[in-house]
Amino acid sequence: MKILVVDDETDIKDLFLQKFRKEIRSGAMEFNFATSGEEALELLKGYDPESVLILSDINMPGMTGIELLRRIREKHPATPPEVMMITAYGDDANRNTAMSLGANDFLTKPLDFNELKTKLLK
Amino acid sequence: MRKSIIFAAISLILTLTSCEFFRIGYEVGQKQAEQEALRIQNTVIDSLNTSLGRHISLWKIRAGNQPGPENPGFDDTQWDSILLDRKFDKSLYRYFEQDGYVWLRSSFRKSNTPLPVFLEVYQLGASEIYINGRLMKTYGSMENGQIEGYNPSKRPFMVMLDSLPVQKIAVKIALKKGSVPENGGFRKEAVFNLTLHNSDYNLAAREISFMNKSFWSIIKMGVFLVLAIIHFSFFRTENRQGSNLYFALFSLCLMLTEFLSFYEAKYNHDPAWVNPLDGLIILLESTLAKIFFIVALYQLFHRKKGFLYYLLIAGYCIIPLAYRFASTELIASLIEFVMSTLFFVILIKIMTEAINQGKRGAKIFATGVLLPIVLTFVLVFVFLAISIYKPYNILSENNPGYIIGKYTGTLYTGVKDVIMAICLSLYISMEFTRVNKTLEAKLADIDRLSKEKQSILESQKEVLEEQVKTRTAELHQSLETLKATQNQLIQTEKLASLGELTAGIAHEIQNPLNFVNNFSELSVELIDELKELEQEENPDKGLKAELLSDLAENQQKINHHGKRASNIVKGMLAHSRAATGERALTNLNELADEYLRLAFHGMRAKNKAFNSDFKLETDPDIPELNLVPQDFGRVLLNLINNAFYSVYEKSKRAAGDYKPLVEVKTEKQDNRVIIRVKDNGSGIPEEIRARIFQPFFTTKPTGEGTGLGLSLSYDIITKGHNGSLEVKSTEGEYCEFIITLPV
Repeated sequence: MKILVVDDETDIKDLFLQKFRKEIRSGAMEFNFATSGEEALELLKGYDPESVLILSDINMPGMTGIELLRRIREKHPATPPEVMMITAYGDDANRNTAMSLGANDFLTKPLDFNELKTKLLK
Repeated sequence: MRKSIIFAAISLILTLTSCEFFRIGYEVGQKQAEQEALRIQNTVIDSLNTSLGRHISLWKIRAGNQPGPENPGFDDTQWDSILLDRKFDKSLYRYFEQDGYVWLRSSFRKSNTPLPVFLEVYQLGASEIYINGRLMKTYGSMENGQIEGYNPSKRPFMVMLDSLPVQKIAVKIALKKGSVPENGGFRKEAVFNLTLHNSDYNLAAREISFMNKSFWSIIKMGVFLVLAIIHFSFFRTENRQGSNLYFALFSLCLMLTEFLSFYEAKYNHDPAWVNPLDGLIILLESTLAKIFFIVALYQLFHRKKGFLYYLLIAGYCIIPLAYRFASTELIASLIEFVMSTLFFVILIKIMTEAINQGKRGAKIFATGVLLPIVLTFVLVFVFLAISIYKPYNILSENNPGYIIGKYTGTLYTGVKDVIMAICLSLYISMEFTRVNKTLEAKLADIDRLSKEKQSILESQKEVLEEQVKTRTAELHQSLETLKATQNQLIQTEKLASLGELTAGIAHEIQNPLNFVNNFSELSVELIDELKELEQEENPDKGLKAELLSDLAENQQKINHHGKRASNIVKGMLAHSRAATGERALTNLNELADEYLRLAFHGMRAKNKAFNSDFKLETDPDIPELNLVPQDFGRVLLNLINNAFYSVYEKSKRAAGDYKPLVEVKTEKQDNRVIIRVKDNGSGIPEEIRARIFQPFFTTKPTGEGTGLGLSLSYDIITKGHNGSLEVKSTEGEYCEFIITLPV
């Protein structure tokens, strides 16, 4: 399973690589990282959308996670790809916007990695 | 001053009056003596007596220069007979028209011979006087047709007569052509007249009489001169009183009149001067003096100049002409009489009114002016009474009434002017004194008033000063309040920008803290994993090394994000600190990065819909600058916040292809550092561009902006850092703030 993580914080990469070390080592998950929405869209071009799960931060300079979601859903109105939005601001407005734009899930920072793991393995 | 003036005036009047009475008394006495002498000697044979001698009236006359008539035996029966007057006689004048020479012959009887007689001559030409064929006297010269006139002015000369019962007298007279006007000129003096005095004629008394006249004239001149000087000086000290000037001129005219009369009578022997002097005297006495007096009077009593006034002036102006051009003195005398009467009427009217108005001194003046007139009337009455009572011929020289009457005239004409002048002078002086006193009183009033005013002003000044003090204190209080308010506002502004930051800060802190938590949790997991690995029989050494290196890396990351959070908190504290921070070497690029991110997250946190791209372009050559980091950071934050606000506002209205962008650019140029904060927002309209740095100026809706952001930023850059803050903008396209700092 390919997972694309979009976040402007570069250390998120190390965090995910370590948290999902076992899954990566077992080959159950494959992680890719993008630091902006634009980069994510670029990367997605080379993927089979069916096998990708996208984890995106909302709050990013330039293209926001919401914008990214909208773009993805323009091409692929329904799941797959599965898109999960992450934000530090767990307010309803953001959540509703994300859900109405076709997000599959809405997570708040700080991330509960065990929960995330469960959700990913489902 | 007033008392002394009155005293002087009274003394003068008394002196003058007594002088005149002395003169009258003397002349009466002298006259009586003369008459007595004539009567005792019984030598009066000429039927035409005069009061002072025998004026020879009946003459035989013939024009021409031929000698012969001087001989006592000359036959003059064919000659014309003529009666010579004392005044100008046209019938005599006619004889001179031939060649200017005339012979006169007459005779008188003198029983008691030899005896001296005295001759008095008044003439306008030259003459040779023969008695019984002897040349007794020559006045002037008529040799070789050259006529030089001489007027002895009745200066007597003595002649010794031969013992003859009838004395023959012959006179040759020469008159220079044109020397006498055809109608006799002003005074119409006789061309020639001769008076005989008996041997007992008192020459000494005659001289004394002359001297008395001189004395009297000099006194009058002195009086008038003194009056003129006094009133000229009054006029100079008190300009408003024009009456002083006119009265001075009046006095001066009378003085000159007196002087000229005196001079003419005593010292002028040139017939050519007789007429001009007469004219001058008439002009001064009868015209100018009168006019000046009237003008002075009118001014003094504030009279309106009416018909009578101008009639008087005109009448007095005509008088000299009447004297000069009329054939007799009668017309001029008549005019003078009418004018004098009119004048006295006016005078009495003025006096009455002045007295009725209660003008002080008016009574004195009136008395003085009217006294000579009253006195004259009294004397005339006495003259008439005596004349009727005593059985004398009314015009007889022996009639005491006649003598009194005659001197009444002298008194009237001689003293009238003086008394009147003195009384008017007195009145003017009193007025002057009164005015002076009134002025003094007024001055005292003014002085008192000004002192009162001054004290009022002083008290007002005190009140004012008190008010000013109070106001100043109030203003000071207001200023203090204002300063405090300003400080509070500045603090508010700081807090406001802090508020804007809070959300961004929360996010900025939340992120590193998440990392710290995550990486520390991970580290625990890694340690657990390592422990498990240790217990395995064949531990994977590669895995172990990987785990260890991850562990080490994690510690670094924990440390890094911990510091990151800590820095943000520090920055926040610094930002909110009230006191102006101290300068410190600051990395401008880092500062710009930090605040750009803070501002962005702050905006994001506030407005969920907000989004904008931002770019930071830094120049690595910029050295560390000595700045007050929190102040400078506030400026950056403010400018960047404004930039984000602007692009956000524009994005709300703009078309879909609008890409909001905020750029921060640092750059080193020579010895300055330039920081640009540029946005592609709505820009600043030109008309408000000049006002954006003014305190409390804001374009944001009420409650959103304090209006102090740019104002404070401007102060911080220019005053705090010697830099400059400029703005460039095109409305609707972009706005760029440029900070320039010296290195």
